[in-house]
Amino acid sequence: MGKLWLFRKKKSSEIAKDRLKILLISDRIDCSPEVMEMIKRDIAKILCKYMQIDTSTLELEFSRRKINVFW
Amino acid sequence: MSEVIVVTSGKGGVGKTTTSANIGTGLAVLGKKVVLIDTDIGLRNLDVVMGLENRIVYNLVDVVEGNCRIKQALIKDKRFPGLHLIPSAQTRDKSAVNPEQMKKLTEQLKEQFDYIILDCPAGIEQGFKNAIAGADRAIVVTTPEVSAIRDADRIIGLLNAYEMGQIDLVVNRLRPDMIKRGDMMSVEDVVDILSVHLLGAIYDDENIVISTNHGEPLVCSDTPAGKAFMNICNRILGQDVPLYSPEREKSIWFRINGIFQKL
Repeated sequence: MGKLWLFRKKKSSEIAKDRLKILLISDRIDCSPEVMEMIKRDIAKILCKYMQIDTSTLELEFSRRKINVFW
Repeated sequence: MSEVIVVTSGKGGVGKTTTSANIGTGLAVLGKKVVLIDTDIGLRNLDVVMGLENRIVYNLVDVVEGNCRIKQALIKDKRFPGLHLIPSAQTRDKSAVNPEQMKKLTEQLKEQFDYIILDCPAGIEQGFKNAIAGADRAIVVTTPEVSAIRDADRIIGLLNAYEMGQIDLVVNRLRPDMIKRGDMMSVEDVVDILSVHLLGAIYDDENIVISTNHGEPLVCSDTPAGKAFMNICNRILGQDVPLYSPEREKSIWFRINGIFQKL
């Protein structure tokens, strides 16, 4: 109590939730976060070849059945 | 119409057998003809949880191999009319049965029973494939822990790949005090992560251990877990029941409301 929110220790349930979210994405498509980063870079490269996009705002969403690309 | 329901989880020790026993018993109490099948060959457990371990003559492998008729392997639970159990074999292993045989068995049982509940072994190997082969829908049991949720997610992925008709989630062993403190993920958190339909939430209840000691399912008792399991059974029958929470029952408004309802 009385602590500034900035210094608030993260609740362990929040830590668990955050860890799971990242873990499950890589589990679902069966590849590691590093490989995913590489896929993202490659997709960005291909997109840039054919259209003008801002790669810094490129977002990739992996689900069980599809991969969505937003920019 | 009959329905074959497989109770699965991926991870062991999250409460598959307890859930199977209580859902099966609950549906029987609600007037349905139910058969529980323990598909964990080599590690049979459902019989002790149900308190029927002394009445086993034939088992699942005997039925599948044709050593006996289905009727001979069905153990009738005398406490609950309409409830039956086919126990698993203790001295064999998972390879004693294959998915085609399980499919055939569930088809035959559909003629006699309203609900066929399959208690699936932990893991994703042969035993899992056997258990889901004949199932129309699946109940995935998990606890609010990272390891159990990760395995549940994997199981949901596999069930989707096998084109399971319906997949529902049961979150077991929730502790309201820990959730309040922020040290345990809530039901909402788990559903959010797994994005699958929620069938029920069961709070951690010491009565589960007591009922297992006795070999009596607690589904019809006046305990938090008993009520939660009964709600699940009613939802399986298509009723719209609000989520049970012990917190809500403790609240002053709920109690006042209860008094007025009794008057």
